[in-house]
Amino acid sequence: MRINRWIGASLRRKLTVTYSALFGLIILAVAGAVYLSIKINAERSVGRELNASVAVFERLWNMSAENMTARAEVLAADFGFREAVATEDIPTIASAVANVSARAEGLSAGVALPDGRFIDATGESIPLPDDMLEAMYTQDQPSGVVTYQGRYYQSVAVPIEAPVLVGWALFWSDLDAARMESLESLSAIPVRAEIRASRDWAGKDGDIHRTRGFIGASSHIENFGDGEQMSLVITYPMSAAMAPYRPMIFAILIFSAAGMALLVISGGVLARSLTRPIAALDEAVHILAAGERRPVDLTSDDEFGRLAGSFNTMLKDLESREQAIVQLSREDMETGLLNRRAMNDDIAQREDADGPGAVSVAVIRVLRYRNVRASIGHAAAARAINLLAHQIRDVTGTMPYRINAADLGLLLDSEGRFAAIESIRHIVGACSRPVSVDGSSVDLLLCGGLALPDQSAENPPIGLIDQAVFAADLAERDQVPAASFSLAAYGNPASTLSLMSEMVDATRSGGLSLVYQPKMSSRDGHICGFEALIRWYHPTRGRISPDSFIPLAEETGHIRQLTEWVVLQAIEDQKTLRRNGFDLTISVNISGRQLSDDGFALWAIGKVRSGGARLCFEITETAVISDPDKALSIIHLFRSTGISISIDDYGAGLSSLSYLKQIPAHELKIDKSFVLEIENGTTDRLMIQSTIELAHALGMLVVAEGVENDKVVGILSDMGADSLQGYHISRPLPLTEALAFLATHNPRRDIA
Amino acid sequence: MFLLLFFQFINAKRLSGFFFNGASMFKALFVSAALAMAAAAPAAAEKISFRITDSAGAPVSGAVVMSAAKGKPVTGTYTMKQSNLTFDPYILVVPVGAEVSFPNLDRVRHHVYSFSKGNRFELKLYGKEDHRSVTFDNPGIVAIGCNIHDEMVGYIRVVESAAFGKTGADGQLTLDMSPGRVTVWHPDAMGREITMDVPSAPNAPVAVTLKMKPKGHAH
Ligand SMILES: [Cu+2]
Repeated sequence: MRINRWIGASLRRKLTVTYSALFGLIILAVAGAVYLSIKINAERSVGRELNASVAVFERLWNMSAENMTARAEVLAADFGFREAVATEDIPTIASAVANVSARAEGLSAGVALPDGRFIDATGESIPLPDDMLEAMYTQDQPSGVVTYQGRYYQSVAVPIEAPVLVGWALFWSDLDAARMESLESLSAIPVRAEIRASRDWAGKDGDIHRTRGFIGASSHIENFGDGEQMSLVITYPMSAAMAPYRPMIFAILIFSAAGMALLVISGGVLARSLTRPIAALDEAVHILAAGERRPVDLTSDDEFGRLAGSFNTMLKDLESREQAIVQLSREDMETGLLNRRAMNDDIAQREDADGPGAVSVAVIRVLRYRNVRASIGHAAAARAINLLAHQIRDVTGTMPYRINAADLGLLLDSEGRFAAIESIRHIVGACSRPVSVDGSSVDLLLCGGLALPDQSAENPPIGLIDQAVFAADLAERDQVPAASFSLAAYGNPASTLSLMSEMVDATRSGGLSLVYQPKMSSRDGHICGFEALIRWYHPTRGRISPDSFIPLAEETGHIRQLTEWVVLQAIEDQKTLRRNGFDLTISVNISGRQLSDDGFALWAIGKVRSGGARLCFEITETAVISDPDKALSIIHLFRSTGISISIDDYGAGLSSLSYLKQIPAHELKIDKSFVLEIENGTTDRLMIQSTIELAHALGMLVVAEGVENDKVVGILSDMGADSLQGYHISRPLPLTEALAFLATHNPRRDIA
Repeated sequence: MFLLLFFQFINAKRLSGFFFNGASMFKALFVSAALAMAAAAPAAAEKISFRITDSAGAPVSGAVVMSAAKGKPVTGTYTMKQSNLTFDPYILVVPVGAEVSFPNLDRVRHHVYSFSKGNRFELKLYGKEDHRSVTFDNPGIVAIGCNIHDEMVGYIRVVESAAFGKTGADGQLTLDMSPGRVTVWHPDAMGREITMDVPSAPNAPVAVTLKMKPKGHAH
């Protein structure tokens, strides 16, 4: 592993090691092959010599046998000798064989009698081994090797007939060391010849056999009798066979080692020249990854040079693309105007150049821009803003930034507050006139806000742009053409922020609670649902009104956390209700922001499903109006997963029949402001009546809110309202009280 | 005995020589048996026929049958010719003391000899015109050869029996003899001589089967 890491760390090392190893293997293979072929060659040539020696031996053996047989035949044919044998004239026999033994150098002779006695030149009579006697009886002229007292002899026997068989003439020669040596001396190479039991030699006749350190050839020798089968074995040491090739093998080893060393060195050098440009490119890429752009300095006409060229080109492209992205990030996509970011950058640039307080910021706001956009569409509204921006440029000579949907920002040279306000008024006055978009005229009503750099404020609570936006808010609120920022009017934003963080804490620490206002069925007087309402009891400030912290949460983006807490708590409380035998739908108010938040929608669906909850989400029409496509798709999503939808506060704001038809709601809640008036005028009564009928026609149930007395209950029941909600039924109740209330109004159903 | 197991493989010439020279024990046994028979009350002579066959049932010619009872006088002349480089007859049975002449009918000369114990003789080279004879004084088997022609082999059986003879080409022989013990011999039979008791007035020829050696060469 460590070696792998060491090799893997550098391409150069990897190349050197890999190719050296590869070449080393090849050298090893070649050296091995050469050695093997030398060995095979050596074995073959020695083998030929050995086989030749064996052949010589066989011929010598046969010649010796023939010689002995011839002598024995001569002896066996002699009449006097035959008479001596036939008459068992032992002394005569002995003297006869002594005589022929003396005549034939290296040979000995003797006579075997039919009863197995053997007489040699000394005249002594010894018994012949049974197997020899058997061979003489069964074979005409037995010939072969005889093992006697651990020594080997070549022997032949020729029968003596007078005229019937009277014995055998035997001749033999000692297969002693001297005889083996004389055989060895006939070979061209110094072989070793020996007589061995055949089972001690694994090779076959005619084959070259390799044994430990030796090669050898063998030949079976015929046996005289049935003694153990013997072989002549001629061996030669392998080391002697290889000796002539030793200098050659040594030379190969030397050349291999030298070649290997040369390769390691040249491989290292080559790898270095190869890897240097790669290392340069590698470094350039690392520099690029670190955010710096530095071209590679590499000029060669090979692949590396081209790669470096491509890399440098890529760097340039990257730079220009980055500039384009920066440019884009400074633009408002809808209108093509510079955006808030661009304005911030420009302010910073001006302040860097001219010192803090160099610029003031003006905001020109399009009033009721949402309505405009709702009526003419997003694209047209954006074109209207663009036209307005051009008008402003025509008036002021500079193109404004689009900093909010309805707000255009301008940088003003620092001048007096009065002059600045005047110039804003001028712009508002000059530009508050209809613009023509897609052939139709759109009325643009404007107001303006001004933010002046305040050198006295150490830490301005918000930036100049936001100050100017807030000033525009003030102008809009006060219905004046222009207003300037005032810290007093802005309030103490620090406390606002801390309130929100405290609210987030409260969702975790239990400062928040839910109360439930019952909905009573006008048909049977049973409680058919609860609306969950949030309460916050602050440890130091006491009870804080939802009217104050819910809008704040919506503005500051904390509404999702708040709504999530409400949904979770409602699911928990519904479980408690079920455990007590009441299965009621709990309604939860969902803010408009949540209707454009896919993340919230998926989260809520998951929680409702896993909790087995039965919830109704109460939404307002205006929540749908701001981004109808998105909101409707999320509403459909809720509906399809079993969450009921209720339209809340119907009649309190702008009511659009077209949206009402599009929202797939189960329920319509008539706003209490209508209901409260029901006793007084007939107008509201008619409106309520028609609303109830419309809702029923659209398949919705109708809930009337703000029911304060019995009379109203009667009226609404008569009109067909399906359920009623209000202080006359019950105020919002904490969970325990809600349970008690249910117990007095509803029959308890046991839920498993 | 180990050697007996191999007799059936042994060349006829060699085997007979072996018996003659090496196994006199058998002869001694035979002689004592014959003496025992002679001591018993001799029965009246009658014609007894023998029929000698080999294992395959083929007649064996030249087989010698001799009674254990002794006493036949020397009568007649005995001849063993040499013609066409063979001894004729191949087998001759003679009483003790018989003189056998060895006429040479061939144009070449012969050098006839025997080294058989008790009856050794040597007739050095002689031709057609020469007359040679030998008297055999001891009972036994005489293996006869020629020093010039190694292939020439013949046998003379010298007996003391009261009755003896050899079968003809039909393997048959009839003897005037008293019932009693007889011995059957042939140089080319395997094993020892066969000795048997012949009953009085057998109603069929006495059948004897010899196990013959495979024929190694022509006579
Ligand atoms: Cu002859």
